[in-house]
Amino acid sequence: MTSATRVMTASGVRPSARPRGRGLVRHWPMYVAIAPFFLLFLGFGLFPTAYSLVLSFQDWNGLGAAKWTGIDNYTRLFTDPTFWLSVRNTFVIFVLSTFPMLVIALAVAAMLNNAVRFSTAFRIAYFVPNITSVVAMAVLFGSIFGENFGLANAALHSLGLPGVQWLSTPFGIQLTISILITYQWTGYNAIIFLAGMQSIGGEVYEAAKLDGAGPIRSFFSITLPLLRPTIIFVLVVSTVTGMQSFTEAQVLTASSSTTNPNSGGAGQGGLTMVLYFYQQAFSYNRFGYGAAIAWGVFLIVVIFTIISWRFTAGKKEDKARA
Amino acid sequence: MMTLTPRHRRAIGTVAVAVAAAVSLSACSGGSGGSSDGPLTLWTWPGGLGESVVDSAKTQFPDAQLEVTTIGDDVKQKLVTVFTGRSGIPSITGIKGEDMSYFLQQADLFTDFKTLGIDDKLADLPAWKLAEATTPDGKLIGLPTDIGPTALYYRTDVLAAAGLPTDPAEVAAATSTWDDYFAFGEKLKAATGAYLEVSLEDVFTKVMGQGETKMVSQDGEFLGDSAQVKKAWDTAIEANERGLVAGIQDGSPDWAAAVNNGSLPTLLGAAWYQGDLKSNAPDTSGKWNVTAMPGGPANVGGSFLTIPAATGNKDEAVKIVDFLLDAKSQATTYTEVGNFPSSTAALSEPALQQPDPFFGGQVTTDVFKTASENMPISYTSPIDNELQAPFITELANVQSQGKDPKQAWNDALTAAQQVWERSK
Repeated sequence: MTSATRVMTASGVRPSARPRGRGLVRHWPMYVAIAPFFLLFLGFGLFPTAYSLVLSFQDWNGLGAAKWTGIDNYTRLFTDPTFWLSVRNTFVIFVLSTFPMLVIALAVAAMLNNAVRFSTAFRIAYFVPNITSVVAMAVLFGSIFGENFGLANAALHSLGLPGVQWLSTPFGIQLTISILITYQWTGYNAIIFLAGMQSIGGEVYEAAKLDGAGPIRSFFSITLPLLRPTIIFVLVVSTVTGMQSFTEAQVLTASSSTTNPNSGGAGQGGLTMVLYFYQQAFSYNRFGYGAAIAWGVFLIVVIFTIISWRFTAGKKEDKARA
Repeated sequence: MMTLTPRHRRAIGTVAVAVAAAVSLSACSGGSGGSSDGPLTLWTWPGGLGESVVDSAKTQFPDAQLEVTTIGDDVKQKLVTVFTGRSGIPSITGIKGEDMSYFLQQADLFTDFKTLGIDDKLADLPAWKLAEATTPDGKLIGLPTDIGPTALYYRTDVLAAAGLPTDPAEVAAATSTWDDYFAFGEKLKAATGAYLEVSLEDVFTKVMGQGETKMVSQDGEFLGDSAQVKKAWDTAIEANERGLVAGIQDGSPDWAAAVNNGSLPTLLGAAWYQGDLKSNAPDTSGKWNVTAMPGGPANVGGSFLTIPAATGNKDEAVKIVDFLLDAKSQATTYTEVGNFPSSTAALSEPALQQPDPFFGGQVTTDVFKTASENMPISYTSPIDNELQAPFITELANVQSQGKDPKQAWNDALTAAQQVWERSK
């Protein structure tokens, strides 16, 4: 910035009182070049976000005049048992999906890291679920986990085990959604873990080998500690996406009923926070209350992102001090 | 001023291109609709109207330059967007039956069909369906494209195996009330192990549909604790207690499997259910029959065509609506996409009077025609679904988790009352 300012003054361009402004003038082609993104973001990202905040203080059915209701929507949100049920559901699904997913992803990454033959083919295979349409997968999972004629129960029966009521009990629904999320995200996270593992220098492992550490010891004493920044990243991203899970639950519990749409299936077990928002805003035309739910979700996501970040980062400091 | 170097000129060129792009983008969004000279636009959805009907409308009215848009996703949401933006509003649009009560709240967005001089047309359409699109002060904002009178579908092979009657008239006589129907189901279950009903929700919504009142009275009274709702609830609970409910989600893979293998040989469905059955259970062709639904008819679904108030050339628009909904067009739509005609005259068309091999050669139209003639007229509030939802949720709890029915009723009523309080 300073060198640019100097050049401008030297070349005899009209000097300005504000050096920053002159920078803007001098570099306007660059600003124009990056403008499309920011204009689109302003129009389709920032404005709707800000507007939804305004909306959350109103009562609006989408067509008529909006009525200003102050903090009514928020007081209602905090006393709404269905909202707290959806928070609970979201957490159950989050825990059931994220932690198995992280462990499996780590194991997959460790194996991919050591695989010599066809490693690219394996990487692609693990990544494919992540780029497959969630809706298509959820429809497929709906068939696999069908109660009477699904593949999953057929497999259980052939092993002599009793079938599970996958989609007709609340916990069954949560389990099925978790399995779907795990299936979808394990490969993606494994690839990220793999990238992290490959940035760990080979000499560290050699040194460990010389000290007599086996592969398991070096995984726990070298790979895991040095992978911590990657794990933080994966955990934060998983928290943000897990708190907002919607499509899986919406498609798996969808019914042809127009009377009780998007209610999350049996016992409302699949009613996640975002699905509840969707139901209120788009099925019942309560856009103001829907916006309030969305901001409630935002708050919860922020809080838990900070917690998961502080939790992992704090541990790192302890380690460094020790 | 600085002199324009080639570099600057290039940059200005970039800006010009960006501005041009922005202008053309906004031109797209501000397009047709509303103007009196431009082409007429029509919004429908996949399966909303027969394709050849739409095509002949285009050739029939060349001056209108009819442009048809088939909306793949949520039509209601798209309409809300264009109405709110006051731009791009279609000249004619379809509205699904379940969204009608919502749009009735803003009836001034639409044209009143009673002012358009088509009284002979209105006489051909069922009064109970027109009532769904009529405001309290008598404005009619939509004409029905199709209706969904319900009937009892049953598998003759399974019923015969259970030693039960299979002739439509005999089955109707044996199942004329819900109580008779459940007794019938008990015999069926004892003999074949098959279930009578898909879900508690199915029983509840069908009984609700048979009533003359729903969740809110026309005078704006809450009816969640009315005798009608209690009757629908009790009927559903009774079906469950007598072990007649399969507990399957309607339309799910489990449902299709049960329909195919005969463990769900009786179904309560609207006229358009025929299409669902044919596509989900083609191998059971010839084994089905249709007869009157226990306890009287209900209506499930059926959509409307509306002319938004913003439409400039209303005379031309109403001519097109009239054409799309005449008896011949509706009969064609029925053969092409299976929507059951709203026009009474259409029911006598050859296409609707043909024996259907899937239903063992039965002419099913007559069953639905009788159902439509006996349909109760009821008022649906814009929040009817929201008020019914807690009851359906609690019925699912009774079914899947064995929740105590009394407790479930109290919880459902409390939740419905909360919805009611909030929406005042």
